[in-house]
Amino acid sequence: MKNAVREYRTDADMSQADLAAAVDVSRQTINSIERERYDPSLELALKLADHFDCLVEDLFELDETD
Amino acid sequence: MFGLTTTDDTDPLATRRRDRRLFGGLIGAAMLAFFTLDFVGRPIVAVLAYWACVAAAVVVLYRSDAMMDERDRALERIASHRAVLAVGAALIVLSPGISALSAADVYDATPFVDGVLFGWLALFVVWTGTYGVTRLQR
Repeated sequence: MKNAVREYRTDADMSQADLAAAVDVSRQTINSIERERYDPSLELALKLADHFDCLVEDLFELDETD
Repeated sequence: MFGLTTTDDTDPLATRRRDRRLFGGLIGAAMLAFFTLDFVGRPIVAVLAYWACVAAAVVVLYRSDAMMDERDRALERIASHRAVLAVGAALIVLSPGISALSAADVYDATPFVDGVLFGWLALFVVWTGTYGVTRLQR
């Protein structure tokens, strides 16, 4: 799954640690999501979308391998 | 001062670090207490101290909301799955293989090897039971 978490985070001028604290996960989890090595749960995807005030589809998108 | 950092209770990342360090410290203390007290000839006290430290670590693990997040739990699931697969593959190959070698008088398994195979088999029995119960619950 592709995602735009890094773009949204940098646009919001937040560090990975800031975002991790905001959605209650570890900084390593945010890093893994941004590197597309970990697909978050639906709950975390919704939290991230809520945090950035966007749709989940704006943040995450299926790629050809999904 | 002296390299110590303060923990801000409102910062979940700081709480996570603190709880992880506490958990690791308690497990380390359990091992240290066990081996030290056993070494100085106090085996019963060693076991009691070990149990006390491990119990405290378990309390930290279950009371902490911050120690593990969903990625940690996902990693744990993947690692458990791979471990069961690896043990299963080894059991499928080794168990009948050793029996055949023993029947052909080529190799007799030592009690240690028998114990390892029995332990792996017991793991699968426990896994099957746990899977059945979990399936009934979901």
